[in-house]
Amino acid sequence: MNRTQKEAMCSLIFFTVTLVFVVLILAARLIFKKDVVYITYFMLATIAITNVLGLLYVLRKQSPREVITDERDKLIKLKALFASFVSVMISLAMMLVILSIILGIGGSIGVWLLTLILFVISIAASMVYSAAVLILYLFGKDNAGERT
Amino acid sequence: MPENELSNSVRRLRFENGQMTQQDLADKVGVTRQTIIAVEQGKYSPSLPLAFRIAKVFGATIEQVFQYGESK
Repeated sequence: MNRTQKEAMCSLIFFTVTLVFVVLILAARLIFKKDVVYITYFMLATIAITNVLGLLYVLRKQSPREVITDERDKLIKLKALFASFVSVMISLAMMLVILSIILGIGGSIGVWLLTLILFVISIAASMVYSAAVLILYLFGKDNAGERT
Repeated sequence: MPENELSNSVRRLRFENGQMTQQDLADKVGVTRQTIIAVEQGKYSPSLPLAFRIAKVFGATIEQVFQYGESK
């Protein structure tokens, strides 16, 4: 596994954990009306530890001469970025349609909810990016020669 | 519509050049081992500069390493 794959795998785990924790905290506070201060601290510590462990794993070299990134990595990252961009566009469009159906054309939402929606979409976009990198490494058939 | 396919002899040339490992070749041409694996399996067609670097490592011409053919 090269560094790009390691980065993608670690960030996928990191963002998945973050998204799950955010959903759990929000569910506890908004739906069940529970005070979850200590659990929030615990979750933040877990996220931080996951991040540090992932960073150590990514930065550890397989061999002293290991190449960090090459032309195939760049091509895969570019495709993954495009997939991530498309996912953001689709998510935003879906969100607008859903909100307009629920609230009506003249309805409005709080600023905090809009911020939360954008935050969740950005986490989801990062997950799509990481997943796309891993999928393209496993199943991708690239043709750099035909690209130019 | 005919499909253009690029085949290569990288794997054979590695073994003919002192059982060179994929990692050795990758280090010599400046790419990751995964890229060499993808090239050998035909999953990735390298750029022209990389193709020349691979050919140079084997002391061969680019046509001896990479073959371009048409198939249906």
